[in-house]
Amino acid sequence: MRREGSPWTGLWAVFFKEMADHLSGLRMRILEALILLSALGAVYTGTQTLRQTVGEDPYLYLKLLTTAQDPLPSFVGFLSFFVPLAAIALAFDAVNGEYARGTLSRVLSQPIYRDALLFGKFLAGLGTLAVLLLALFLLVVGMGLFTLGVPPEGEEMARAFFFLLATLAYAGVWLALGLLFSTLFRQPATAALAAIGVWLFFAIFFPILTDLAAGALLLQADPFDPESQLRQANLALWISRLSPNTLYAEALTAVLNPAVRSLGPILITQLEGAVLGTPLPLSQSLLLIWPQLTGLFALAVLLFTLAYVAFQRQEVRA
Amino acid sequence: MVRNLLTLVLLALSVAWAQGFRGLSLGTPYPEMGVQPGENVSLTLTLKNHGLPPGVVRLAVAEAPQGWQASLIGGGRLVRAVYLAPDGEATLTLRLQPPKEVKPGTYRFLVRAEGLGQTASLPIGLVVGQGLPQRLSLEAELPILKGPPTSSFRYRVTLRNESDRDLLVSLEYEAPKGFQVTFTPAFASQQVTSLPIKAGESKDLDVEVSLPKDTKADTYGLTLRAVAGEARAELGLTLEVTGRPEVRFTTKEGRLSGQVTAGRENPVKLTLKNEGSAPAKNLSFSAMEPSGWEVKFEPEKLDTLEPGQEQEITARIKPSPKAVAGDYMVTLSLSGGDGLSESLDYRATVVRSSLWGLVGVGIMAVALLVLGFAVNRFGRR
Repeated sequence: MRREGSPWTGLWAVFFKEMADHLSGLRMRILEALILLSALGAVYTGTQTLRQTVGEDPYLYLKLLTTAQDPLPSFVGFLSFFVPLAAIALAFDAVNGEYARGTLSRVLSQPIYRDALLFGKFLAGLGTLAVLLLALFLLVVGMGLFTLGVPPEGEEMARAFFFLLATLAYAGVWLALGLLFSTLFRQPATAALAAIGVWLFFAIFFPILTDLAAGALLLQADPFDPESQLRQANLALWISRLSPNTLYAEALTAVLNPAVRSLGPILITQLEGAVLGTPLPLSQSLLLIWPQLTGLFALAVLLFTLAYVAFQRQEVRA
Repeated sequence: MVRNLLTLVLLALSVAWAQGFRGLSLGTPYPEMGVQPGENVSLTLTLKNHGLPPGVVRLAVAEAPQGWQASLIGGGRLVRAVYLAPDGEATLTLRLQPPKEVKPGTYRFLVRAEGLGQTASLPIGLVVGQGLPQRLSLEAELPILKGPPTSSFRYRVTLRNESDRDLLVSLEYEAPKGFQVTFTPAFASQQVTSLPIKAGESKDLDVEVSLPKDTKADTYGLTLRAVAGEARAELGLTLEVTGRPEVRFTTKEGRLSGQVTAGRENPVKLTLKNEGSAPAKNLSFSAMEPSGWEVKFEPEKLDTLEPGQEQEITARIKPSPKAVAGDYMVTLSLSGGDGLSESLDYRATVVRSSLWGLVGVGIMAVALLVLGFAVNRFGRR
């Protein structure tokens, strides 16, 4: 049966309801507390290190985000660890939870399309994460202002904004994955386990696998032909870029460290005459990470499309 | 034979007489001389005791013309008597001072020495108006020198006093505007403007001419003058100034950094200005750029650049298409005839064209299209 009318009808109702549920839910509270604690710790150690080591740096606040001190990782390190978890936690029972509670058919008996329901759930998750990230970031900057006593500059803030955008795209990928599994599996526990399994795979096993693959590829290269070695190294890099974690890490590297000029192997001839250590303009850094950003975005959209197709083909009146 | 013998005997006798001379002798090397009007004359008198016992000899100027003052000076004081040991000798100065207005003519004096039972007298004649004229001469070893305006022109000049009295010579010069001339006695370090020269002596001087840096290439004349009273000497010196080109090489706005796009030609305007004194010739441009880059100049060469002339050229910097974004140093240099070479370091910030960004937008658009297609295809109540 063809649909009549716009698929967006009821989207905002779903969006605000879901967001209210998320923000008031206990699950979110726990996540917030976790992230807040780690942010406090990271910023505190970052400030201490900065005060001791960095005399003058044009990008002090970016340093604040990226400086790590053993045993604590940097703020960025914490985020790249917690954001996938938070996204999965928000989405793993989005659809199958409704089944389990028997509320899905009740919702769909309202003048709300299925499209709008799924869109609304996804956007609500993304909005919740955006609010969370923004609050966290403002907290970090505020604490930096308090402890460092230097106001941040425009370019720093612009870079931080793109950092937030990249983090949001990364969160979107895991949110879409959680949504996909929650439509594919009827049991929320199965969906959660599957999503966390994928996350673990990319976080732990994929780097090992790509290392192995890179080693094997380099062994294949002719040791007397630098060109073939370069080709194999590029191939290994491309394989490692299949992981959203790699894309996110590369995007962060370039946007938070203005001195980064390239994300792949560089020939020494390309550096001839180069003045090293000078910051790139923001537009050039963005151009550098543009493929990564668009890749994350496209991956999120594709995963969501899969979830959407799976959801549309499902029988809801069970 | 007899005559020969006679001559020999006479000769021997005369030697014996000369050796056997006993008495006082009073003499001076030049008893008659010409002097300038108004000139003070000092004569050196020698008084000698030949074979007499020691004793005191009185001296006096017995005759002097009207108005002349004659004084005998020994040991810095006026003297009237001299003590002479046997075969002893005394030296005295006779100073003759003319009256204020002395007429030309011959004036005679007589100095007499009395003592030890002997008398010696010395007539002296001064011919006023017959002295040598005061004359100076100035000669240069190498009167024509050649060099760039920055080099020092150093002439070795000999100043000679050709008159019969000591002179205080002042040194003057006439030179084109801006030229500076200094006089230094040879082998000395102090600069002088005047110097004393004894009669008949000469002195070597170093004359150094320094000129403004922007002096045009040309031949310049310079006149040195030595003046002492009425005596004067002139010497013409010649400077052949060869010019030197000096080219200022900068970008048009003076900024030494700029943005260049990878893989494209980026024009950078440069200006040349000849601030030297000679035309710069055969100017050619080159660049030290990272490998894979290209730098072209428009025009590639300049034949001449006259002094004061300004010329604009364009450097087209084309970074390698594979250049990594960031800052690079490119050295642009200029070389020409007469050892001319200038260079400037240009800091080029390579930006990459945003063409690949469009590809990323395309990927995103494809993803959204897939979603839109899914919504259309699977949308249902």
